[in-house]
Amino acid sequence: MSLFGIQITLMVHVLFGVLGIMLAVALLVYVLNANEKNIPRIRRLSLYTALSITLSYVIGGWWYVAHYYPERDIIRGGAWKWAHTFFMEFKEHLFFLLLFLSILLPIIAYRNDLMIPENRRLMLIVTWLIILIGLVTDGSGAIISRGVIVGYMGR
Amino acid sequence: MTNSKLDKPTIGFGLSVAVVSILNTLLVIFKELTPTFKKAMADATGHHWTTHGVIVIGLFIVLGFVFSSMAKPESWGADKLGKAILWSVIIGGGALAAFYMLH
Repeated sequence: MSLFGIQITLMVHVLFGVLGIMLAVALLVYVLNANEKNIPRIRRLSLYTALSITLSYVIGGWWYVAHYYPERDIIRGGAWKWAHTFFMEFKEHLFFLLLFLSILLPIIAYRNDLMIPENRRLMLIVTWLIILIGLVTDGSGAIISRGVIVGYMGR
Repeated sequence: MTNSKLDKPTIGFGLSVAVVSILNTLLVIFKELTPTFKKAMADATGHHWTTHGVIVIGLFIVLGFVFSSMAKPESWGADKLGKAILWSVIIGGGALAAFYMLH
């Protein structure tokens, strides 16, 4: 794959990650204001969130395994080596929790009565966790990208 | 759907998230502290993270179905399941961060 293609792929990974967070935020608002009319929308949003996070995982995972090593070496040679040793290592394993929580979301939404407050609270907990972990992984990704820049600046 | 109880797959896969959140961190700690094991993981699929993914995703799916078949809806309300997921993610994620800070 060309350098352009590799960079675009990484951006698509980020795009789906951010989209997943935004969909989860929208879902949170609808669950907080749940009524009979918006239950179908809650269910669809839960599914779109899961699809977006899963796509981000698959694309980002492929990029990490196939194309990250040259960037890792640049980060490790620079002043921000912790961008890899902490943030990338942490992010690549925390992402699994995000993936599992997002897959759980449509299972809760499609298979249970969301007009029951306890069931909605479960949806809210899972959705909040997706948003928070999503922001942590997104922020970690930004730090890793800056780590590459800092690595180049020190050469 | 007017049943106030959670259905079995929700309980099963919810519990699977809770258990695998912890197992994921334990696997990270074990592979990072055991270089031969990490190398074996890398040899298995070409990258240790790919093997890690196969293991935890496999566990998530298998445990999800196992817990679904065993789940008793009268024992697992939504609030109880929500707390189990919340605390396991806090403990699993927190321990993961702490480990990489110290490692």
